[in-house]
Amino acid sequence: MAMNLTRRNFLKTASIAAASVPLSRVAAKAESGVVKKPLAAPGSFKNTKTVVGGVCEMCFWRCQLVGKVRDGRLLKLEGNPKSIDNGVSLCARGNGGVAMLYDPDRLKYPLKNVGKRGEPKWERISWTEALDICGSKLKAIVDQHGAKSIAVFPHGSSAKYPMDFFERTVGTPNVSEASFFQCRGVRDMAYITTLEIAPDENVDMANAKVIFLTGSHLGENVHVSHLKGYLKGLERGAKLVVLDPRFSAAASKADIWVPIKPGTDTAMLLAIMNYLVENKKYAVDFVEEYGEGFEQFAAGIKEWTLERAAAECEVPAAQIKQIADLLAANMPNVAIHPGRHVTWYGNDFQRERALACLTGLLGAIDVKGGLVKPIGPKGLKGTNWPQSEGHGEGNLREMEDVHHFHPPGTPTELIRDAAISGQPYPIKGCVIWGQNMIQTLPGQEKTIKMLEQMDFVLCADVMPTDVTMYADILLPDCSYLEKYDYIKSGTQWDLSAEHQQYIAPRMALVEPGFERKDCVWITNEIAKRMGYGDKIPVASQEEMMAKVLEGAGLTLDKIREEGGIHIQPGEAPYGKNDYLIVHFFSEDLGEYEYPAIPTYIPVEPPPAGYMRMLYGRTPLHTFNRSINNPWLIHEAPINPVWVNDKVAARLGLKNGDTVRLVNQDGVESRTTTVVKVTPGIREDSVYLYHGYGTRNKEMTFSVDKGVDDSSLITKIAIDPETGAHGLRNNFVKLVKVG
Amino acid sequence: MLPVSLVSLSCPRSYIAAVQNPMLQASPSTESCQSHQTPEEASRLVDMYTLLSQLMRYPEESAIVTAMVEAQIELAGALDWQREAEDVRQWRQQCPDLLHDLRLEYTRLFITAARRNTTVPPYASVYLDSDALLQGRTTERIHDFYRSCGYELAAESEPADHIWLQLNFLAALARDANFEAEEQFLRTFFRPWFVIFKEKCFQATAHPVYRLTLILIDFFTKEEQ
Repeated sequence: MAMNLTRRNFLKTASIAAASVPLSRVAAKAESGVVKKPLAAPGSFKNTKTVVGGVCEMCFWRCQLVGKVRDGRLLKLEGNPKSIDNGVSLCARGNGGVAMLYDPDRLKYPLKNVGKRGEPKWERISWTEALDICGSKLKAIVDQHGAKSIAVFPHGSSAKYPMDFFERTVGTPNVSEASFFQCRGVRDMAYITTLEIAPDENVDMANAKVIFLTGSHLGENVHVSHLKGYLKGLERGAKLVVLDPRFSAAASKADIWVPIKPGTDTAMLLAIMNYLVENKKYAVDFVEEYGEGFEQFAAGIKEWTLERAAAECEVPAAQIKQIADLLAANMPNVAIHPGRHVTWYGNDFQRERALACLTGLLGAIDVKGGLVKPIGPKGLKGTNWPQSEGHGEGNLREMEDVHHFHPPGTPTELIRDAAISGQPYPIKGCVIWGQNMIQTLPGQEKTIKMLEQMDFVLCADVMPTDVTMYADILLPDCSYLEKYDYIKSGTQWDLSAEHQQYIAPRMALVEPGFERKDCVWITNEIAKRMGYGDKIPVASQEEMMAKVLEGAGLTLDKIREEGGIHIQPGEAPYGKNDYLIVHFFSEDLGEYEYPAIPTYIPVEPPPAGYMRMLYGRTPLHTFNRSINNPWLIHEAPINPVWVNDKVAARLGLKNGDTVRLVNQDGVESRTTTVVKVTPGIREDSVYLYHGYGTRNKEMTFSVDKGVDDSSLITKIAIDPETGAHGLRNNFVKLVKVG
Repeated sequence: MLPVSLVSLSCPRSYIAAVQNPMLQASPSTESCQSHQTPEEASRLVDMYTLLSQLMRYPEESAIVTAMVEAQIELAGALDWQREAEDVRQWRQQCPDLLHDLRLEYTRLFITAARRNTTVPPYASVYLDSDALLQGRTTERIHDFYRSCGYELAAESEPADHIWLQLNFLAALARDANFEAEEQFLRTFFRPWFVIFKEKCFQATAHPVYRLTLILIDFFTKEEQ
């Protein structure tokens, strides 16, 4: 046949006849993708609509959104003008939600791994097949080894419903949330132990006279309403004190920046408190009324003179005194920020205890500018999976009698060790929901070992993150823009403004595309197949939301009519805590043989030739969660490693040089990054953004970009009180490439 | 006849660049569109587009896979593409489970990449829109074109610019003998991205069925010389 044969000539030829039989068989069976429909006037679907009810989850601050939607497509996200929280403001990540929604790399269909864990070969399968496999595999594991043989690693609002199912109804105690054990659990437990208050980040910065930050990422981690309070406080004249080995965004705004030696914050806090006590510059009446064990505390911290702390922290004694005097002069209206991501050195409970004690010592609780719990709306109660008899049996933490001040769940390291050793019992099933454990947990080799020994690994996620490479079944979850699964509530961010409360249920802005399903549907279908069909608490995500709103006399429809957010009058929050107590000395801690007063526990210094690896946030990403976002990665494509200028000169490194990182155990980074030479970091440390260096090739926008700092955290530190990880105890050197 | 609204569809720069590519420029057809096809040819064209559209869908049924492969081999033979026909024939002989094998390859190539490879997403917007996302402006224009010709998506779950839907739409146009719209759709929407897509697929797959499918699509959608 001629080379220049045209379609038309070909269609005329008789030679095509041989194909006609199979062609007709195909045609007979073929489903049509398009159907005849008379042309409708474009006005009926072409007007851009504003869809209300969005609640962001690019990070976990959960700003309220509206979506500009045309013809079912989300074009743009904006802050909900009704919001008294973020208002019309959204951060870069919030805006980037559109690109998350339509990222071509997102998970679209249920997948079965017909290759190896870690080297997956995927086959798209039907939901029925996927759910049947999940149900039968998980049931078989429970039948053979008991509920405790299932480990669950959840993260984000989508993971709550499945987590509750496995923890309460199936009954496994082996649930470990990254938000607790690799982030904020330490803070909450230290404050609960000290002040009997879960602090969140409830410091009234907008009305503070001094804002005191320890290693904060304010401005680099953009939580909109939180930043509004912080900036309002600065605008109103608050003095800002920042302890950070690095010249952070907050340090750049500080009145006093303390480039403190990493790991020594507690020593400095103790010296500040000792100075305040010795000079009677603390809130004497407040401490008398609400303090417990103050004398033991005062006696115990006596050794922490300004000079001793100055030597330990490598900070001038005069600067510590200056800070202490500043706090004393402005108490009680001082915001001692409890921090957020606080799992640093494995001695973090003590630092958080010290922060809580300092708050108490200054009487900075329940007053303007202090630690103040806003009074949010009441009545929001939900429904949940019923607790089974014998749920929680085989609690590893109780069996080992450790980490008595742990946040909810089981410390991750205990689960991982038990799974690897098979002792005291086998852990053979793994449910990973929205958590990329490869990047959240230190010791990647251990995580992989744990996953490899499982009989079954189920992952549900929005993106094909690194850990999904280890799944047997990978399920496509709805993103926050396609579902109903969370109710954000609170008050206006400036506690001195008109008191208002809000209730903002997350509503889908667009339909879930492809074959994505929401967590309620997926969990219910798995529950039915595991034999828990009669325990299902709600039939759908909308019903779950309706039940929670019912208690506040609201419905989704009503709130939608109100613009996506229900607003009602609020209450003044100051002076409302009748049961205030400050445990300067904690008998509870003493009973379990932990230090009963806040205590400084030194950390190992870097070996010669190495620097401590510190990590943090770029305002453009929520760690690895948003790393593949096509818009965001375009703006922040790599995580440069900050190196002190003097160190760089000694090492012969220039700005922009390409380097590989090698840690103290000889582990090399798989990928490279570039050097950022700056005087804004101590000589003993380097710093880079966490969440880069994705290995999964399915994340096509982010794969191999920057360096994965987690891969270099091979030395594992555990906070004794809580069992949480300490993630900044590893050391690196830089090796120039090329 | 095409509705007026279609005329106002503007092309983004990327389209224009693609259309202006001399490789894609064809000399104007000497025949008018309306007299282009006999009913028999049109009916064959419907069959071709239907086959190609089904080949670019995720394979679900053994029987239809067998028929598609058979048809593909016959067509390649008729076109004198002996090597391609032979490759598919050999694959058919040696492969113990045609459906499973195609599902794996489809998943790997179009849904989720295996190691050392990249996915080739089968959506036009990824190739034509500047931010390479799904549900982009291209998706909307293509969806609007379907509507302007009196068609709507049967289900909303896949974006309108998935290749299988575009080929399916072309089958519908051929069935309606709306060759003017077919030609315009091919020129304005389909070819500008398909040529890029085809090249990427050729780099990413050695599978004889998908390689042959792509050259068949190319043959049936290319402007006539």
